[in-house]
Amino acid sequence: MFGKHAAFILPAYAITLVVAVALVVWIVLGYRSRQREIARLERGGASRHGRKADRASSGETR
Amino acid sequence: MNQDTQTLSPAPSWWMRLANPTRFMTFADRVIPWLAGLAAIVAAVGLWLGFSAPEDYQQGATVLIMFLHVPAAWLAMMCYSVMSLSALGTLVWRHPLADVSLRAAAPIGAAFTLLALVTGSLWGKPMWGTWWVWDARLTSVLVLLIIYLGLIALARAIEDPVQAAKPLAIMTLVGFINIPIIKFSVDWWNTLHQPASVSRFARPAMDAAFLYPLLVMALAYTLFFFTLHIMNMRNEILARRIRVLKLRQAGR
Repeated sequence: MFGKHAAFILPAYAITLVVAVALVVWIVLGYRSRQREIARLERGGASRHGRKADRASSGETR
Repeated sequence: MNQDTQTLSPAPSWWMRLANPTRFMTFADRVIPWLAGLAAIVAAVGLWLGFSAPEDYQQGATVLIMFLHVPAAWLAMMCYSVMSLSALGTLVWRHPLADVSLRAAAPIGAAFTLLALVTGSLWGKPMWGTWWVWDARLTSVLVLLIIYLGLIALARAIEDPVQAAKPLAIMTLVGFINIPIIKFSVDWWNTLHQPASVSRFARPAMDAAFLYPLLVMALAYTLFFFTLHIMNMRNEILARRIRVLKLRQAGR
């Protein structure tokens, strides 16, 4: 199909596919690991709404 | 709040409403599947059109590499332009997500630039008889890749993203000087790389059989870029939340 130029055309398509898939996989895995990390930290008692919220969620009073 | 105050306070634009990271995450979750699906459909159409096109009378089947190489090169420059706009967003408008956008785009831009260089090399060997030549176009694109890598390294070198935002934005804007150099390198210097053959809208120097698949592939690459960019912005926002949570935990 590609004649004598197959050795150039096929690697071009293969490399493009590999880089595109690698980008998607890298971003999706990064998203999942960050979500897991946030869940772990929030289970550990940290809250991104500040110390007031931390105290409230832990039942602490002044 | 009285009636006068209500009249004087305009509703925030959708642009500013997206400045809220939680609102952006909701927006991203809704938009990503649609953008990704659209990118896949447009890419399938572009590939079908490309593989249905006849062989070029001079280049033979290697014209198929053009449908990958040219959009990758366009996106390499477009991505840097998005980063430069984001840098202005950080420095001038102080949009809270501008720095997030800049950081998220850098690795994607580096990947597109790498693809432009590699597919260009694979196209150059059968057409020019060489994998590489230090002409102005190829060299300036290599410089773009180095700039991308430098910006990624700078972003990682400074731990606090808020502190890193300003130097990163300034360095990004300094690097923008390379974009017009890439674009006009083929006009300003004698290069082995051919001059523009599509952007001459009056009469593109390309047959419609090749022009349409090329434009459809460029649209597919653009949609793919924005899908990845929004996905990576979501990751960057989560990374900042993790940092805040860790600091808070350490401070207790």
